[in-house]
Amino acid sequence: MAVPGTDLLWLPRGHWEIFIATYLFLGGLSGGSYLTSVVSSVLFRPRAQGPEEIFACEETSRWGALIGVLAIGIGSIALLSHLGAPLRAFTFPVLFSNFGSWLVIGTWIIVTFSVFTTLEAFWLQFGTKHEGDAEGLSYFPRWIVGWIDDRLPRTDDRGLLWLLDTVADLIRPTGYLRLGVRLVGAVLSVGVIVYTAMLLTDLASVPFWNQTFMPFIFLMSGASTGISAALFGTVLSGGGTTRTNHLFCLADDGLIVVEVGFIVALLSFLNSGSVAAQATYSKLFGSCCYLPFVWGVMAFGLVIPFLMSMTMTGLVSFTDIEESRLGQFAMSTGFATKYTLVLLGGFLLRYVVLFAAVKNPLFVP
Amino acid sequence: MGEQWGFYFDPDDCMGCNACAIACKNRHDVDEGHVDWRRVDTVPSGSFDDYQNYEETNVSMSCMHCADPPCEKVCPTDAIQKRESDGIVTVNQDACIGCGYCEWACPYGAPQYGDDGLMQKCNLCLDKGPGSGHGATSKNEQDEPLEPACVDECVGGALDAGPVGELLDKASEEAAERFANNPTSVIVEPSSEKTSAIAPMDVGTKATDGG
Repeated sequence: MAVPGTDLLWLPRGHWEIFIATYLFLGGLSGGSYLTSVVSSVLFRPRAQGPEEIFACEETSRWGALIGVLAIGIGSIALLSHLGAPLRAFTFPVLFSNFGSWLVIGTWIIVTFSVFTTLEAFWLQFGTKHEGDAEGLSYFPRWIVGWIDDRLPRTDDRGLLWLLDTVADLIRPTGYLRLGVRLVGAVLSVGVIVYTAMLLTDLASVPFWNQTFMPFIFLMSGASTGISAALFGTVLSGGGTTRTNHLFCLADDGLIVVEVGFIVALLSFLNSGSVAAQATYSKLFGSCCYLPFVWGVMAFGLVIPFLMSMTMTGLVSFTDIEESRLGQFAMSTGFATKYTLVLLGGFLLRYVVLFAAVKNPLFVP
Repeated sequence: MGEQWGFYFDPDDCMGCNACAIACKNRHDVDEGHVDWRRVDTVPSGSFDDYQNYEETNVSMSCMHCADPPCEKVCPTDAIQKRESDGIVTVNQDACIGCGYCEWACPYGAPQYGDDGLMQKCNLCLDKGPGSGHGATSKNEQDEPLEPACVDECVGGALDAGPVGELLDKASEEAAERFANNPTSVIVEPSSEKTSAIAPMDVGTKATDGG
């Protein structure tokens, strides 16, 4: 009589290590932060009242687009670092010929998305509108250009900053066209987040990378980490006590709740699934991934940030804590801590998704 | 499509000596260490406590040259190809970017990565060396096709290779029946010591529907 677990040939996992986890994390974060930027620009900014709220909305938009560019750039470098022949990847328009592969689909989504998020970040940094009004921390790229400008020899006032402002004004669309560009970018940003999941779920040999649950988990996590990254910037810029921050924080809480729901459903599926699914479940709660999953992802990445947010929302709603400078500082620190934890949890989620993955074993006669 | 080439394996004749794996490494000058185009595993069945029913099966495995290879489907550059001419799955290392996607996609662990970071795997000895075989003349058209090193060096005669039609001539009825329902190009005899209903190398189906 065969004993359960024998008659099985377990194969080693593939060589996707920390660079791929970083790539998946930053891909999701990039999409999410761009989405945050668009929501802030299109939905929040027109309704913002008072200089503080307008400042917070515009800072959130700028941080979101900027982090979108930085994250997708660093994420792409992380992916290239993993490849055996990274230089060949630069010839992707010619070399990537299998359009049935999610790696090819995703590459094109990322490249197109990068154009949109770079343009958005550029338009939000440069242009005569921003001349003499660049006070938020998110303007640091503009400050850097200005600093370089001051050190470049020139004969008139037309420096690098002037050039970038002029180009930005020239190519910036207005009205419905601008809205259309932002919406297309938003669709692409969702595509980037979902792609980071589809890359995994297309592989049927790993039950953990479940096609039903994983795309939603990544979508929620990508949007949540995107909000956290952009709003972390807004809090740093001094917008921690604004309504904009509170609203985004509550939206993030909603995403966290849904994400927890999908993770619990996935765990339930794994616990009652195939031998590889059960082996994955054991790894998640065993020596391999207990610390990063149970404490990193679930406790510090999801539950504690949610509880922190609820507590802070309660304090803001029912007390006058934000009236005092100390209270404002405490709240801003609290929000910054929450966002940092969500980002940490988002990264550890990708880490665990790769390192707890178990391939289906082979059944031997 | 030209006649499919494949392997034949009889676990009853395999003593687990690893001669096949070493011969493969030698012929193809494969990197030392973790790179194994062919590997031999001993799979236990039963429990030591119930030693009378405890059994071990030696399994010699390489690329299964699947009918519809999952590695080929995910390869972004089409570097992996199932050849029309003889059904052998080859890799064009000049197009491989070393992403590792195929390694996860393959249910049998066939794709391997050498020190150069590029994928290499069994090519049924179409030619010698990592990445060789891509663009090589069909086995069906070669005057004296190279016998795979693993087959050449197999001490117990557990392994064979050739056109699947010829291999089926020597296979048992049960092995042939299993092969007919098998998405790979490897014919595997059932182990005589086992009464398990699960067919060897039924793994393709089992491995992919488990999730």
